[in-house]
Amino acid sequence: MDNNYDVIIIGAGVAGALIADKLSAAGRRVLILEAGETGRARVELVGSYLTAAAQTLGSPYKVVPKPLKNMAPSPDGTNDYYDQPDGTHNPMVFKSTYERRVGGSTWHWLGNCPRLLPNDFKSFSLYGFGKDWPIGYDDLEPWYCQAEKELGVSGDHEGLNGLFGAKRSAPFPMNRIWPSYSDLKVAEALACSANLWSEYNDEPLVLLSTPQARNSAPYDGRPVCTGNSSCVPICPVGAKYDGAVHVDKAVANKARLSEKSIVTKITAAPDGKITGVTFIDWDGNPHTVSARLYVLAANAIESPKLLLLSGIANTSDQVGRNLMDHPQGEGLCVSAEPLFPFRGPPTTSGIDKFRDGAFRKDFCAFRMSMGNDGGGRTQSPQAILGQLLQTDFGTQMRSKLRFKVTRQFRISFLAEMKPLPANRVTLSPLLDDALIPRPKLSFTIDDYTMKGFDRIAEVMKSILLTLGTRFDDLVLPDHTTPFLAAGHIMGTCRMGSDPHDSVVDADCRCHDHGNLFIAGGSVFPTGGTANPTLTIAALSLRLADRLERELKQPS
Amino acid sequence: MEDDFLKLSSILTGFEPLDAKLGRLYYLEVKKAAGAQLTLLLETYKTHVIGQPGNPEDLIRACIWNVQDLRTLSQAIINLWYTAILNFGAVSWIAPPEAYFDSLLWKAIEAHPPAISGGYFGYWRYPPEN
Repeated sequence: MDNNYDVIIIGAGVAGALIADKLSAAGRRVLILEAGETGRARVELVGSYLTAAAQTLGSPYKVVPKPLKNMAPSPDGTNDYYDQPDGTHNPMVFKSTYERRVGGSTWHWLGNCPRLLPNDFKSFSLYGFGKDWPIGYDDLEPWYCQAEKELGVSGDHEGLNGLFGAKRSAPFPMNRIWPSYSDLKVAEALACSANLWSEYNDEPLVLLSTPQARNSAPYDGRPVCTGNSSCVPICPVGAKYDGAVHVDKAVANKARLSEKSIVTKITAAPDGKITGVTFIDWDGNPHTVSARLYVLAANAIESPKLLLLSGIANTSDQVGRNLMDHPQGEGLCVSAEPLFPFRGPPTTSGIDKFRDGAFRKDFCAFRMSMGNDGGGRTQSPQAILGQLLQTDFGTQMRSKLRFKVTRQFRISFLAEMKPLPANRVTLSPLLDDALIPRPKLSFTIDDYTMKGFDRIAEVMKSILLTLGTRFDDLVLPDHTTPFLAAGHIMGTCRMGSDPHDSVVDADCRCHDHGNLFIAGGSVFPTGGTANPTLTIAALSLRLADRLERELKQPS
Repeated sequence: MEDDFLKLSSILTGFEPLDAKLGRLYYLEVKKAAGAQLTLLLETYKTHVIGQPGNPEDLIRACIWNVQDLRTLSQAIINLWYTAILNFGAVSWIAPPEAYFDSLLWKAIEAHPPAISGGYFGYWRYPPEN
């Protein structure tokens, strides 16, 4: 492999793919190293999903045929890859997973693309928790617009423009995804409740269309969404964006994609300059490559793991710390009227009212998402069938099943958590099949967030009661319920202006290494209440612009 | 036997008619998994339900559903038609994708199996037609 690269990018997920596309389009020589594989065609992945015994997030993506050694394992549970306490007995473990493959975890994401709010960038100065970002909403706004264009986000510009001061300087590239029948019914029921919960802020309690990287019209050579309802874990037609879209564009621009290339070390000279990257292929053969600039775009677990493995970038002792997710929970009810779930995307609308306000001094902000998937992750239709079969069969069972499932409705919440230094990724003494230390995770949720869970349950209850549910059919989460994971892996290489307490600067450049940059959710100092991918994409596009400027300078 | 399997399946699932091709596939798999139990189930159905006066569901409740072993096998057969997965005794069998597309669970709730809607953009805004 030759070494004449301008940039080496580690990781072919959405962050690395966008940067690779932009730089290769500008004529730069780009090498992408991806530990996972390109793998099978979409239609075959869908086949694996349809015939999986358990339709988990990872079910379409297992390497086939099953290799003797799983060189780039992806977590598909709490303890199959991570080294942490047993998740079945300990509710307080890290539960989010990811896909190590070309295109990354956007293969199995839902596609929700809300932006962070202006106040999310200054939680410490305003609310006294976490750490302010070294950049603000206005710095990122033009990049949010570009990210929406690149990913192909369908959204309601008028409805979201100015939300908590978040001005939008450009419309979405596509109109919103249409609301579900259930959204319309819930909005009707909520119409009398608009002034509820005024102690939180002055925003009305209304449903807003959730911006989603899913086509509401043919876009960028990909088809329109036809509501197959399996976005998580796979879109059967490619109407939902995934990182492979930009990997393909980068490769068409002559970027080189090296799959099955597991980076084991990033080497730094005594002056801090990165001099090369060592990786092994799936046969275990070592290779070394070098470039002028390096971008680490694995994710918020694999990126710090690699930095720790390499013994670099950690003068601040912040590498691996402040691991965050968005703890989630669900509330369920059985509506008085049928809402007909499992038709169309699993969610199309949300409630943004609780994302900001003075209450954030006391407990966590949260965003709510309206389900279009019956009992969501709490109670599947298969489970209801199983219960009914204990006593019923035939037409009676069929009609009871229809009655319950078509009326079942869930609201879920996604809460902000405080970044805690003790929530961290370190290197486990346990090795994976490539003989690389597995990530050892320490994770807990602080009282600030737990306190919010009870408040959220109160809000959920009042919303669900508007649907005419019986009290017996209400299922509400609270601080005693084990939380669910959002798959939003953030923190661990946070950005900041002070090299003593952050890993990268406002340009995502490592304080310790002038030619090493980090892309992805790992640089987030705080998580806000926005699904992170759009912010990851915006930061990546901004970084690509910085890198191009840097490459224009003489080396 | 195969015909009886299909007829009994229809009453157990509450769906009429059922797909005969799928019925053959399921009959063979259930026979593999349950053997003599299936023979007993179908014999019972033939003797006590077919051609007998009364509502077939009531007859089945009396002679099959109220007999523990026969009920367990019947539950597995219903679950197979509804989810395209057979769990009986030590056997766990997953039907091919074509069967998943026809699984009755989704028909019963007027939806479609996830990953195959057959619909157009925005259909989810309206209630189902039937």
